[in-house]
Parts: sequence; structure tokens; C-alpha cells
Amino acid sequence: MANARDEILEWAQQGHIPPEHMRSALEKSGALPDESQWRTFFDKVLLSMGAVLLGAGVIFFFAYNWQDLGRFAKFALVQAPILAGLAVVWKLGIDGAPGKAALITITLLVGALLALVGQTYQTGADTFELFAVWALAILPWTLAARFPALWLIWLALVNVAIGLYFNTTGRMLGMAFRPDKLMWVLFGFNTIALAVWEGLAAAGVTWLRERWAMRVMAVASGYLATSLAMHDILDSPRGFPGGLIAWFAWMVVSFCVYRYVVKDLFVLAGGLLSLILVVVTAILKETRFDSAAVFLVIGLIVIGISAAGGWWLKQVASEEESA
Amino acid sequence: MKTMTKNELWSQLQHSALVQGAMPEQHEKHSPWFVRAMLGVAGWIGALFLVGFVVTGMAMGIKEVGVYWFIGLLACGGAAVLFHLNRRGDFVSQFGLAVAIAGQILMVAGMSQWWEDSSFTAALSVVFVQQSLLFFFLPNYLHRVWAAGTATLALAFVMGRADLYALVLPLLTAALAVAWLHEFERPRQGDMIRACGYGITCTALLMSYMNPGDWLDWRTHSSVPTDLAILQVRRYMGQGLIIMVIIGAAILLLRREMVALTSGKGKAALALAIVLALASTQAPGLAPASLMLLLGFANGNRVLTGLGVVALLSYLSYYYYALHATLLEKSVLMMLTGIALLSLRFVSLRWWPTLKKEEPTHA
Repeated sequence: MANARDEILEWAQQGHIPPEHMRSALEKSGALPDESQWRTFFDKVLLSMGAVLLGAGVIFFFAYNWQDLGRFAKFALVQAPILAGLAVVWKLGIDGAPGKAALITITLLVGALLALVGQTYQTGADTFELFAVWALAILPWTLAARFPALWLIWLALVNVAIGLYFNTTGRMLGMAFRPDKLMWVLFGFNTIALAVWEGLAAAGVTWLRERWAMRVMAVASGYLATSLAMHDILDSPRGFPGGLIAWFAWMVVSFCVYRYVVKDLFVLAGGLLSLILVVVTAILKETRFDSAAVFLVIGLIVIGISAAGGWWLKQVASEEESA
Repeated sequence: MKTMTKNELWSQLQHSALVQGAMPEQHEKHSPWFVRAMLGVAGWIGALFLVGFVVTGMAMGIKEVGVYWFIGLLACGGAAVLFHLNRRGDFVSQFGLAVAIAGQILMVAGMSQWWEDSSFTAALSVVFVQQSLLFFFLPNYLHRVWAAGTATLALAFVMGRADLYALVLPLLTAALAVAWLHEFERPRQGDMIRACGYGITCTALLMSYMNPGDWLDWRTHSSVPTDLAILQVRRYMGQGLIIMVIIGAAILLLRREMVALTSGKGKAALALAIVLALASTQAPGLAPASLMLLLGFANGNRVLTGLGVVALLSYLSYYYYALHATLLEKSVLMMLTGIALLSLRFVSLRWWPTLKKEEPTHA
């Protein structure tokens, strides 16, 4: 069944559950949190918000570059919480919520420490090097922690490092830099990361079976595939349509994997949106807009694809509900 | 519970005398939130092309912009008929949505002649009334989310132009709290309440990114500038209101959950609300995002909870660049709030002990 909450809300809307019984029905079905779930939620909110705000606060502080504070005081200010965080991890273990919250804080503080080193000693390093070293520095505990959120932070850092690297070298080499080159590298990196993650999850690594994390990566990979296809259509109509081919391959593989193997409707819905965008871009490129009818036809095509896609997704959803 | 079938759920509720009779036939298959979101985005793209069709088709014949308003009204009327005649057809729903949005864009374009007459506030007020009426008369869930969002957005800008911008986010946060706190009270109108809740929530999130300086571009230039002392009073009023909204929402939620304010859990929840309320006076975007997280969890609404998490992280990223305070002030606020939350976690273990041994978490 998809969701007890949705079923109860629909039955109540149809009048099958009286308003005075609505809450009891939701509680009875487990759609509303019980006291134990409330306690866990409360704990997670305090730990995760507290850890993130503390870490981000230290980063903001060093970004301000307060001149009145000496370099030793600055280093102490960032290193002391790192040591305290490590002590928390050592004392409470890496698997519990406090240990994981401490790891997130330490991860953010390492970035602040690296920025402080660059700021204090004027190392001359480029910004992409900061992010690359940051990703490298947190890799040991990212590997050890078995924590999906930390892996996503690591992937984000590598993405930023790649983006900044291309921007920097692009500026240095002038015309040699092509923006689609960056898209290709990011597309390759994120798609490989997604494939590895899905593969390991399917192979039995249970802590990686967090669908939300895989969806974040699928969005990144799909967005880049769509951008490559649109770039091919708009900017290089006569060249080799590598972007379009990559997008098409991405669509076919995603359809097969997420329809029949993993069964994730979220990615299928994203694929449909990607299809609409690419089809509209292709029509826009080929059309001269010399009559109102063109607008009407494109509008109807968009409505038709999305309506048919919505209907199909509902069928898939109901198949999975009844499975 | 997740593995329970629909029939089993019905039997369980029947056994508890919460429902009677046979399980009803399902009229419409459920669409997950992301399918609805995809349809909404596609509907919007489709609407833009329909607008292009009307504008291009009329460009040669009609010079009077006001005619667009009339055509837009007809389009909205047509969409209303489509929604009433065929509520469950996928193509019809999607077509109706695109026609309705296109109609509204044309109506706003038709009103642009008023804006030239310097009465932009009046036009925004009309948009607010127009979208509010369409919310009630066009019975389509996605359209209602859109209408509620745009109506509140128009109202926010009306307030902003009257130099009442300090009250915009606190009032929107209050409205979203009211909508989600009462989600289950009128089950017959459940879809309408949820659509309204999501619409207001989206507008509140958008308004989180407006600094006082950003409002200056929107204010009425023809009127006499509001006295700085009055603006300062309004700022304090906004801060007071945001404190009241967060603490008030926490108290109402505790009452709804039948938790005494003096109990350990009540004290812990109120302490969290106070910390968030105080931080929100300096970082206002924290207020709607944290209430979404809290009320989403309380109502078993995973979409709202997830949206709350994304909103908190996005606001934090934006906050770095927000110009209303220096990085030093912002860093002090964040460090103090972080320390307060972590300390509260330590203290709350005494007020509200964990019920069972904590399992490893992947949050």
C-alpha cells in the first residue's frame, strides 16, 4: 500500500470516516508519530540543527576575517571544536546520532580550518584546491562512518572542486575552455557515483539503501544529461550530437533500471520532465514562430506528453501498490 | 504498517469502529507528490505556449491590451467548466490547468494598463482577489496550490508597497501554521486545506529571501516616505509577532497532542520553540522552515517535513550572502543558537528521557 495517511485522508474526504474519528484513525494506522518517534525526532532535530549551525557559525566567523583576533587565537577557535567533536565521536561511537552529528560539524570545521590556513599564510592556492583538499581530508571518516549524508557532502565538495577547477583553468586558457566540457565531466562523475551507490545498495550494503540520497544523485545526473542534450540542440547543431546520445542512453538505462529493477517512480517522473524539456527545445529550435498555430501545437504537445506521462506513472504506482 | 494492504487497513479501522460498511471503491489512483509536481511544472510550460498562441494570434488585429483580460476570464471560465465536468481525466485536468494558468497570465497582462496609471498596488490587490476567487471556483488540486500561492504573493507585495514588509513573513508563517495545525479538522475540505497550506508555504519560503533592502524597489514611490521611527516600530512588531507565532504554534501543537505544558516533554518542546523564536528574530527564514519541519512531522506529512529540511539548508546557504547583518553578527547568532540547541539536547534527556535504547540512525 502506498501510504496509510493518504488512504485515510481520502476516505475521510469521501465521508467514510466521521471528522471526530479522523485523528483516531490516523493514530490507529500508525500514520501519526507515537511518543517514541516524537522523542527520536526531537533528539535528531536538536543534534542535527545544533551541529550544522555551530559548524556554519565558525565558517561565517572566519569568512569575516576579524583582524582583532591573533592567528593563534583563530587557529585555537577552529581546532578546539574539531578536537571536541573528535572526542564526542570517540566517546559515543560513530554509529549513534550524536557521533554522526559531531562528524557533520567536524566536516564543516575542516573547511574553515583549510580556509584559515590559506588566509593566514597566503598559500596562493586556488579555490578549487581548497575544496579538493577538503574532500580529501574528510575522506577517512566518510569511509568509516557509514553515513549517507556525509557521502553526499563529500560528493558536493568534489562537484564544487571540479566546477571551480574548470572555471580557473578556463580563465587561464581563454578560448580553450568550453562550458560543455565541464558539464560532461560533472555528468560522468555524478552518473558513476549514482551507479556505484545503486550497485552497492543492491549488493547488500544496507546503510546505503536510503532512497532520498540516491534521488539527489539521480537529479544531479539527470539534470546534467538534460542540459547536455539541450546544449547540443541549441548551440552545436552541426557537430557530433554526443550530448543528445548521452541523454538518450541515460533515459533508456534509467527507464529500465527504475521501472523494472529498483522501481523508483521519482526518477521516472524526472525522466518525463526531461523528455518534455528536450522535445520542446528541439521544436523551438526548428520552428520559426511565424504563426500562432505553432504555439498552440507546442502547448498541446507539452500538455499531451505530461498528461500521458502522469497517467502512466499512476498506473505504475498502482501496480506497485497492489504488488 | 507500511506493508499493510488497503483491505487490511480498512478492516483494522472497522474493528476499532472508526469506519462502517464495505471498503469504498477507489475513484482515482493516488499520485505521489513528485508526479503532481512534474504535472504542475509541465502545466506551467504548456500555459506559456497557450499565452504565446493568444498573444501572437491577436497581435495583428487588436491593439487594446484590456481585451486580454476578457480572454483570460473566458479561459478561466472554460477551465472551471472542464474541471467540473471531468475531474478525473488526466488529459482534461492537465489541459484545464494549462488553460487556467494561461488565462490568469492574460488577465494580469490585461491589467497592465492600470499599472501605467501608477496604481500598481490596486492591480496587485485585484490579483489577490482574482486568485482567491479562482482558488474556490476552480476545483483542481494543483491549480489550488498555484492560486493560493499567487494570491498570498500578491498580498505580500501589497503589504510591502505600504512599507509593512516587516510583518509579511511573520503573518505568512502564522498562516501556514494555522493551515497545517487544522489539516484534519474538516476532512471533507481536506484537499482544499492542504492545497492552501502548500500554496502559503511556498510563498513564505520565497519571502524568506527578501531582505528589508529588497523591498525598497517595490515600495510606492509616489507617496511620502514612511518615517524611519515608524519603520523601526514595525520591525519590532514583526520580531514580536514571529516570537508569538512560533511559541503559539508550539503551544497549540502540544495541546492538540494532549501534552501538558508543565510536563517534561512540554518544557522541552517549549524550550526548543523559544530558542528557534529568538533566532528567527535575526534570521527570519528559520521560522517558516522550522515550523514546516515540526508540523510536517506532527501530521505524518513526509513531503512537508522533507520540504522543511530543504528549506532550512537553503536558507542557511542564502544567509551567508544576506546583507542585513555582518558576517560576524551572523556567525555569533549561529554559534549561539547551535550551542543552545546542543545544550537543550543535553538538558532534555533529564526532562524527557529516551523511551528505549536508541537505534543507529542514518539521519
